Amino acid sequence: MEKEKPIKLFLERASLPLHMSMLEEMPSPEYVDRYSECKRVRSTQYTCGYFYKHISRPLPLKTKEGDDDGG
Amino acid sequence: MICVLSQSCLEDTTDAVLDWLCAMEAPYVRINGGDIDNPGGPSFSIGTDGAKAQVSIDGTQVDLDAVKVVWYRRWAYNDRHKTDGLFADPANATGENIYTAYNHLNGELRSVSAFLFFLMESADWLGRPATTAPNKMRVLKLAADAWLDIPDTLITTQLDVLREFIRKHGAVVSKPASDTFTLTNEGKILAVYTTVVSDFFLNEATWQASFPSLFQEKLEKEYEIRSFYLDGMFYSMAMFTQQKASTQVDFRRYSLSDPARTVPYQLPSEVEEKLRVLMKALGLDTGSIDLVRTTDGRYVFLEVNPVGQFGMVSYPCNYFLEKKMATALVARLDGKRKTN
Repeated sequence: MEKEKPIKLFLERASLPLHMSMLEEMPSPEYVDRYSECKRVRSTQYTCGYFYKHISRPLPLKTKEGDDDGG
Repeated sequence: MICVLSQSCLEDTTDAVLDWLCAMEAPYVRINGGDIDNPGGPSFSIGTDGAKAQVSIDGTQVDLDAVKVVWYRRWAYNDRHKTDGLFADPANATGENIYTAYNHLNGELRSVSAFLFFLMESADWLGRPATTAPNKMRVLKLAADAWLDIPDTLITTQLDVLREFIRKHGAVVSKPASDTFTLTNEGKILAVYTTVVSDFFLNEATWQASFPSLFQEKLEKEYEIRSFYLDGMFYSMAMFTQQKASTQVDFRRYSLSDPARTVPYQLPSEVEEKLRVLMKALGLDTGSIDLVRTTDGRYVFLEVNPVGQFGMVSYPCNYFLEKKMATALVARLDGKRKTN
């Protein structure tokens, strides 16, 4: 993707590497929120069997509703 | 015991691996970078009788001497000073004061964390803080030394040198020499992507070429390859990024609602062998490797991210990489570490 004109964020006289002149709006900004804590961050929150959530095949029909892994 | 060093934000991969460790009934504890700057965080005492650490996680004292395996996944602090504010008088919140204070606070946290890591030095580590962010240019040099094909790369502060580089290659891209970053502008998040350098930037009026910038030849891609490496094995995925204008130069511009097609992929054995040489030179047991298959049949190595998210390869390709990672940790616990 070729960027014709930059977003005017910095002073024109600012000494910058060229890539900083080509900043773009993120298509998925929700994935860079440094301050949004993941749902499961403690050693006590893991359960045997939960890993079935992490395959790309359709889940078993009897999956509990609201059983979201946050991933 | 396995100690998992991770972070509590932007990190779901750790969760999936810990589910597997749980299923394997392996003893583990997770310590997040945010536990360091948190009430109830670890205390350390150092005296003539040695060094002791009091690390209480989830209400349980962690005996660091019992830690035999460490997985260094990622590490990020709470940085409450950034969200809660810092200076009592707004007049003192100048750019330089904020930068200096943030830099100092980060240095303090890094220093305390480094001591925590040191106290587990005798454990078998998978991933290490020191190898988290390898120098991109050094990696390219080592990749070329390993006989891997790499993009022709230029770092310069001179417009004339850049113009000559463009004349040679037809088109070039610009990307950071270090890590990517984000800024906000009018409530929107701005990020750095690999971007083709247009004529607009090739004059002094639009780019003060006094700061070193990294450029690479623009590769004509047939498809891109993301390969997850673990203990000498490769788990690769082809990404058909050229079917959409948004992902042709940088696949990170993907749309979640209309993602690029991805399929499991087998790299040629000679490419894998060269990559093994590179990973050994970098001291990496694991990492996510980016390559490009060009329209003229080259396999071009771009870079390696030792702490890349491998769910993006694991789930679509059904590689079960989280299980493989857990298995690698348990193997280390059992003294059966695989090497490349």
